[in-house]
Amino acid sequence: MAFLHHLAAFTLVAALAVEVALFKPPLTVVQARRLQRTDLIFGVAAVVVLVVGMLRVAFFEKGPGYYWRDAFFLIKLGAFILAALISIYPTVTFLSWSKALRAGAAPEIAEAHTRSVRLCMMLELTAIIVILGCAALMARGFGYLR
Amino acid sequence: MAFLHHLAAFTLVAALAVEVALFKPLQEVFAP
Repeated sequence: MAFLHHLAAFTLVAALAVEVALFKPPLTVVQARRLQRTDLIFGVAAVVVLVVGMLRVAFFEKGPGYYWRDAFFLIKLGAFILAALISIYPTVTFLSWSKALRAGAAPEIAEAHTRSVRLCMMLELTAIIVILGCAALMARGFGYLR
Repeated sequence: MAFLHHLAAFTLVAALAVEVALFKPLQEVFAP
């Protein structure tokens, strides 16, 4: 389970980094399609991270009593949920291009829209750093609430 | 130390993924 969790987490971070690198409008049709595919990989990886993570909490590792009483686990989970909610905006943006892409047209993206999507991605990356910090602290027993 | 180790590992994998993504021709199908 730990292997799967790590594999999905690395895939998620790699997909987000690729999105940041590829999202530089104006985009061609090929670049826009690649972004849509990368976002799909990102979404699937996020679901796997959450499901496998919850299975680890419930049935493996230190037991649910340990995690649900740990402040860093709760912050980690909160940061993950926040990042997932923030990621809705870029995903909706990428999906909104589908009709134009099917017609073979490149998406037109306003500068303000580009800035918003990039801000969302940067916030997601920040959440990942928070998650990494909390994971290291949680695993060592810090933040245990009595 | 675990945090730094993980941060470096995730950065490494992310950078490699970006290299792979950027080092791609912009045509999806090559002309024969």
